[in-house]
Amino acid sequence: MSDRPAIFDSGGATPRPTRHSGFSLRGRLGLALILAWAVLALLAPWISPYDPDQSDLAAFMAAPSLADGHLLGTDDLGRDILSRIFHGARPVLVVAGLATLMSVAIGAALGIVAGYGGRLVDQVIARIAEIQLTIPGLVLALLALALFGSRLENLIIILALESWPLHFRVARSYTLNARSQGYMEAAWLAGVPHWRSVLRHVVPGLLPLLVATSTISAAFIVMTEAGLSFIGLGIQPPKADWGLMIAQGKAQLGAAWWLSIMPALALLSLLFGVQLLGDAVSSRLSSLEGGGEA
Amino acid sequence: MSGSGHRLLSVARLSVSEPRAGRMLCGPLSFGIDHGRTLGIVGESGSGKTLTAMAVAGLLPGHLAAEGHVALDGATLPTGDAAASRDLRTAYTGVVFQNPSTALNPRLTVGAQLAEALAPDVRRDQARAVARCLTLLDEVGIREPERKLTAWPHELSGGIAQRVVIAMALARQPKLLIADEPTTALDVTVQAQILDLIAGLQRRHRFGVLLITHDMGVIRDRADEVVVMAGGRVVEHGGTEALFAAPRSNEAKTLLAASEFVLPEWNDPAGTAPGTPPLLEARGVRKTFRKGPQALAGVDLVVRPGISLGIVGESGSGKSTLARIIAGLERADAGAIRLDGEIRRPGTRSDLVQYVFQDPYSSLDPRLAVVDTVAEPLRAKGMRKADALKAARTLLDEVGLDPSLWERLPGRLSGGQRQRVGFARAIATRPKLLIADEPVAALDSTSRERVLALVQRLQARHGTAQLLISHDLSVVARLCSEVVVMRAGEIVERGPTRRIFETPAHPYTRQLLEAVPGRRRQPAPLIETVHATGETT
Amino acid sequence: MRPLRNRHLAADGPQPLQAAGPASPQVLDRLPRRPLDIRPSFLLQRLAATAVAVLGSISLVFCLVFATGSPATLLAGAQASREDIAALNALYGFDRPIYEQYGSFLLHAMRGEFPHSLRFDIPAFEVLAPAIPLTLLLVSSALVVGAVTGLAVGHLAATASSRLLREGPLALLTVVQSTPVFVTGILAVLLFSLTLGWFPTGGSGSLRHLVLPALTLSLLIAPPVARLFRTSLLQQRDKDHVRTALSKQISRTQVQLRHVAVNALVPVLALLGTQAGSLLGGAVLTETVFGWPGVGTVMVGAVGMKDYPVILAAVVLIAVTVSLCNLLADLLIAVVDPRTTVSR
Repeated sequence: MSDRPAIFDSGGATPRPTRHSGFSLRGRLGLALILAWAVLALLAPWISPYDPDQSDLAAFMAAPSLADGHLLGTDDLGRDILSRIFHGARPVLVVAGLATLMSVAIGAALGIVAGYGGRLVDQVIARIAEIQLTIPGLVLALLALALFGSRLENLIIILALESWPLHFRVARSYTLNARSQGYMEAAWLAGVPHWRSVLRHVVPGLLPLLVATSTISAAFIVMTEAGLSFIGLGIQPPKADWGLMIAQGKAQLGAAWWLSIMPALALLSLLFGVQLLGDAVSSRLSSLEGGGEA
Repeated sequence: MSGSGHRLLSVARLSVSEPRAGRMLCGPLSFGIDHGRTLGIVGESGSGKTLTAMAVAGLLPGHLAAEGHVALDGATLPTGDAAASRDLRTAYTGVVFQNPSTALNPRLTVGAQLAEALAPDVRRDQARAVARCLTLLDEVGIREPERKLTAWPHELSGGIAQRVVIAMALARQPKLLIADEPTTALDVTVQAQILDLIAGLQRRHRFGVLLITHDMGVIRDRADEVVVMAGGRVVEHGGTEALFAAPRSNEAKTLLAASEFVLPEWNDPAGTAPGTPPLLEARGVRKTFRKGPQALAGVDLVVRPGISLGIVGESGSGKSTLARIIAGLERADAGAIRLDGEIRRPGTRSDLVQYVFQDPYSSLDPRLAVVDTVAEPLRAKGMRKADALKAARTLLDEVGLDPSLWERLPGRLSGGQRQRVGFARAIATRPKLLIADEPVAALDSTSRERVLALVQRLQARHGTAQLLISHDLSVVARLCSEVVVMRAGEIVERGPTRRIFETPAHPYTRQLLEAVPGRRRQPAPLIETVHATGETT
Repeated sequence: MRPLRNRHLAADGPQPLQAAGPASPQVLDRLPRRPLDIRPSFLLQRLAATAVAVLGSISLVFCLVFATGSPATLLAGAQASREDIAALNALYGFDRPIYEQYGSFLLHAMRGEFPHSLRFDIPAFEVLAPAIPLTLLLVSSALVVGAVTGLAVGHLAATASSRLLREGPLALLTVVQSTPVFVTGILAVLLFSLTLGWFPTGGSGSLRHLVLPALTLSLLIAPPVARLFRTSLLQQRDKDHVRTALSKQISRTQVQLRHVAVNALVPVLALLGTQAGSLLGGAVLTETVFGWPGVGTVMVGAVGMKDYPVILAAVVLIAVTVSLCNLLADLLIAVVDPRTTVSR
């Protein structure tokens, strides 16, 4: 997560806007994977071959096959795995999407405030972020969900609250840097109000950075959501969820590997898509920074 | 060492290329150095002078390749990257680099790095190595060499660090010293000390020097022979005296003009009536930065309307801090500032003052078109968008920016063009006082010339009072009618430019004037500084 | 040219250089390394930061517990009698004003004192104690394996001459990076235990039990280390001081080691410090997959049984461990890079 110096250091350089928005092949592949899952999740009730909660005791732990209609097999209750994977994409994407948006909003707002406000405000917010980072994300979420119950909204809130420090750090250092740049000082000398200066000179440059950090956050949130469901604290049975399905299939790994492996592959493809997209965004940003001065 | 009949260094048809891009970067060029002599290579940034020096030193970055013939004291140096070639070069050449603060490994002590620079046989015997290191540090004029051996590079000032780099270059008693802009990153007075040091060592050890610089003044003082480079090739080559007497190429003429030190005829402050109330009056301004030394120790300053006042001083003298406090960008700890008779509350802005920034790159928002940047202050004053844009175009025309660039993003502009935009933005609201903080320090000599001419023109046309901050005396001499000399947060001397430059009263002013390269041949009092421990960065 | 005033240069002409004064014996001992001097102020500052982090994280836990509304009922359990709750209140003051509750919670937590486990009826910390060495064993072996793998791959990626070696291993690790640790674990079990039968599927007790969990967890740390080390090596390679070193009469290998590789290690150390948290978080999942009876397994078990005292104790234990790891990393960096003791 912290191996993208191009993003974190970019307070120093100033990335340029993209006029020709040609993405690398990897980036497009990543975006396609994410969009594909979004479409499948949206259309899940109509494209699933079976009811995801319907037990079919005749086809109990059926192996994946083209012949009997259960393309990816069935689980230990005889439920169709493909249908459950389609439906299981919904909680993952809802949690990841909403929590990422919330965390970016919180982090960016606090970052701009800390970078623009006084030293005290800055110190206090930075300390809170630091403290939060001493408790690993998964552990903190585990505690919160154990205390407040494993509901979807709790899951979203806790994951959002956990992910803001990354966006905060980037927004803060970008704002601090922008504030000391000649163009911000010139705007102030010319009498441009602060809020307008922020909108005009800080936000446009910060947005591309936040796109990059939000892919990092999204990957973390997807992993943590699946991890929490895996240890029984996320989405609760009998609902379909990838992490939960992997956990439920774990006991049958020797007898029926597809119970865990099929949802795991779905999870991997989504995460891989996010990572590809994130890499493409970051490398685009750093190339803009590097080759920007003409 | 000498007398073998060979020239110390002879370079023939040397060229540097980037094989992967299929580009020729510089050359082919040929030159030579005799034993104990100094050859200067001079040119603007991008002329290929540093590439040439690094090609001779065998220190080109990995993606570049050199071709041609280089012979040191009769022995041919292979241009390739072979270990044999490196051995030969490192045994007989020493290199002094441009930026002393990055030339040393921050992770190792001075002693460790200096010991590493010794010849392998000396290095093996620790007692001998230490003794030799101490001798070297002593020889480059470093006090308390024992303590400096265990110092970390970040504990050294720029001047001391450069002395350490010179000691490393001397460590193997080189026949040739390659100095790549050895003083560009240093303050003026320190520059003179470093150049004196190199000259002294050269006389003592009789090595040849290949001196790279962009400054004709340095060439005049230090080089016996000079090569002028432009666009990767030699445009002029000859004895220093001859070149200064009669430069043939345009490039040499431009470089000479940029280093000249002309006092303008017109700047006589007595012209403005002394009775006029001051536009700016600063009294007892103090400022100490958190964790820093005192930046301003109670400074008084008066600027009368229409006057151009220059503030000169070295880095750390507090000149920029003073300017920023006057503009309201920084708060003073104590003191009062009156603008047009009215007391200014600290940390507030005033429509009377505008500012032009030193760094042309960070002073323009990379995401805003040039014309929008200039229109911004007008929009902030409530002007309608269409009117503001129209006015901005007039301003851009006035500062002489090519109309094809008006709608562009600043990324497309050169440093000089950006600085013009900065001036257009600053004069947009017709301030009464224009502060320019080192407006040409980051520019090469051609754009520097144009921007300076612009400043002169603006002053003549609008009669705006100017406060010009510069470390470069020639800039102040040319543009300002009054000068204030600052040192360590205090004003040491003030007065009309001509008087200060012709008969400086304070010893520090004399030292500053003395240190300007190219002025050595005028009689001037000698500097008393012997050892270099008193420097600060 | 005007005469030079430097007294060393007063006499013109070449002179033997060895003529200068001898070195004092201490200097001989000190060259080329200055004795490690971590400034007291730096040490104090880092210790203070650690204390703030520990106190802050305990406070965060308190806030969460308090926000549930009835900490006493929570910690005494659903079946608690009136007396049980009264006893808990007497100890922890959950009936007193919030600042007293807070103070008392903080004090007890710092001493590792939490209410009795609801499941085993012994102090919560004693439930965790036997699991601690197992988790430390797992995490430290994963850290060593992961860091070594990451450094090796990163070094290959920056310096190998063949394109395959430069890009292959790194690309493999990039794929691994987007694999959740529990998925890696399940794939490892499927392949190495169930299919090949080389290692047991889970449990603890022998070195063979440790191999799969440690390897799985190491894959969490190897990719970021590899990528950062590669970037850092490439950055250092272009630094001015490397060019200075190349102008000396020393071998390229020496330059690469002393001036490039060791310098490039500094950001990696910082990364390892910040990754302590995600490593411990990953350990929770790894332990669950492999049934490794460490702190994570105990904690997940406690979550299932609603054994809140044990959960709190485990969270505080993990937060303190992470803070100590960060401190350790800071001190290590200070040893390798002298600038940090000044500039931080």
